Amino acid sequence: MNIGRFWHRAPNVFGLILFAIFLAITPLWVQSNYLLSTAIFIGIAAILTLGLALLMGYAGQISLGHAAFYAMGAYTSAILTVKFAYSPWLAMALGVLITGTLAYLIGKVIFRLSGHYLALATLALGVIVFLALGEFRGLTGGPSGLPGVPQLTIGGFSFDNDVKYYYLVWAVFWLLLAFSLNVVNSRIGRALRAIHASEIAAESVGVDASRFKLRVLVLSAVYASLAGSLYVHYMRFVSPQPFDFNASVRLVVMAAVGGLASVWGAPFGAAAVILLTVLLRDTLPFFIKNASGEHTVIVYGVILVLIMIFMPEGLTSGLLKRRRWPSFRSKK
Amino acid sequence: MAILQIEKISKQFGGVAALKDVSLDVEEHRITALIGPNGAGKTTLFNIVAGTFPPTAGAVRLAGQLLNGMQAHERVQLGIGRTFQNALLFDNMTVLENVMVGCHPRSHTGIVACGLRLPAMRREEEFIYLEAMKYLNLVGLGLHTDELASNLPFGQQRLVAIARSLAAEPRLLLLDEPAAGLNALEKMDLIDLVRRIQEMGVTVLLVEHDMTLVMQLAEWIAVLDAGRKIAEGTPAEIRRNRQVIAAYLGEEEA
Ligand SMILES: Nc1ncnc2c1ncn2[C@@H]1O[C@H](COP(=O)(O)OP(=O)(O)O)[C@@H](O)[C@H]1O
Ligand SMILES: [Mg+2]
Repeated sequence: MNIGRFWHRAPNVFGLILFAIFLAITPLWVQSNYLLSTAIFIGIAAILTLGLALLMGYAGQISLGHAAFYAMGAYTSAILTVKFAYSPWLAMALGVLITGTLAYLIGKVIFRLSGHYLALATLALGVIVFLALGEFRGLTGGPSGLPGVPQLTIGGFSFDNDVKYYYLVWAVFWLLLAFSLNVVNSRIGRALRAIHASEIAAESVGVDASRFKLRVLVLSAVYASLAGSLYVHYMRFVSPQPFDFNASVRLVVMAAVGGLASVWGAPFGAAAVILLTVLLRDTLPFFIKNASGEHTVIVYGVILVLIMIFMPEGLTSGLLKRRRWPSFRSKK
Repeated sequence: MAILQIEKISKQFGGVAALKDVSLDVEEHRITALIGPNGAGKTTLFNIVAGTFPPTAGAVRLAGQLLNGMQAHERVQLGIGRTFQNALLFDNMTVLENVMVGCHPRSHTGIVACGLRLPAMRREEEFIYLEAMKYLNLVGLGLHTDELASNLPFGQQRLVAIARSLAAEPRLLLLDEPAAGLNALEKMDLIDLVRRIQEMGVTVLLVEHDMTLVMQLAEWIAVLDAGRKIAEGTPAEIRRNRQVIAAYLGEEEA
């Protein structure tokens, strides 16, 4: 009797299985350490993008300071493990708690107002956090950063090489993707899509729009915090530079490139932008003398505009349509 | 007993007075119609009752409880359901999903339980699905579950909207021009549907332009003209009322 409803979820279940197989075998043929390390950065970015795609695609809100949440996770892990000798896992959990609480407080204030105030508030948050990271030298190490972040270990097992870290990062991403897909295909996902389609109609059937936007904001901040913790334990070092305004813009571009119609876009958006960044870093100096981060941002801006014009649903929308498979029930 | 009490409601939009001192009691279990020419303020009154925006002055009570200051979604919890003149379905969702959203106030699973697909969540999904199917069948759209809502003809979209608000199990249902754009046969079905909704114990307040349909369906009629209530009474009384004939029927001929 519920065959039809199973088929609604089937593409996601099969997709997750295929994706897991792909992720598992990738290190077997990627021999280059450089590529493997790039794959780790893509995985971390994919976690960030996943949260942002939920926020942009499902809550219809944009965060222009998502790097701030990323930084909160990174620095909580770094400071607590380096300065206070906390267990990395406990520090990671506290990072999630602190970052989630901050996002909750911001959202609580912002979502009472209608309009796009979240973009402004997060923009400000991004600037403030970035400046604070440079200023509070005693705690953060200032612009030169904080070295000596310990490795992640479970029992006697230590994530001490790129292959192990690759599996860790992508396992976390895969679990968060499965979690996100479940949320999207639940009463909460339906409520979010309803809000996106018509907030007035959603409210008319009892959906508290600001409450659901708030939940998604907190969820995306939690993802960002986890990504930050994974980042510092991989780098074994943290400095403010990866959390500047450029980083926030890059994340928005990743989400837009991946497409907001489906959370499946996140890994593709992250991979596309990171590979492009690598390419730009290697080629831009040939075209523009003294090319800097600002030039890269211009390129991102151009890409964003082109995507909005030609592929408003993102790169992956053609591959992964949200339209459902026909169910047996309706076909009789 | 009056389930809905509208007390001296006024509404200003900038310089425009959309409603002036309107009072109306809606008796429980009775089908009440709100009629009046275009721009009379009928939709505005619905929006104020549903909590879409606040009135400039006046009060609204549901079963005696004051609703002023409550948001639209809170009023749904108390039992107010409504449809919109232009259906306002969730275009990005299927017919079934639209009605499933209607079950929202009767379901509770949180984000963590949903993300982990805990047994409680699966059970509730099943419940939501069955409820949504029940109301889709009630409006006669049980075979269109997987169509994209925006692909349905307009008349059927209105039916989906009715099923969607019924899924929240309201005590009072506000229907804004449910018959607009329906053919004669579909209007017969609609009359039948509204009567069945009444039998389910739901009080219906409807705005409608089709006087034949109103006269057949309504047990009580209130008439708005230019933001004022100019009459109320049984269909027979309204039919004889001079002011109504002048205001309302005059427009029909114009
Ligand atoms: N949101 C709004 N903003 C400004 N004016 C409005 C708004 N809603 C309705 N009005 C005005 O209020 C008056 C009554 O409109 P409405 O309630 O839609 O009438 P009806 O539903 O009876 O046709 C009209 O003059 C309309 O232009
Ligand atoms: Mg109207």
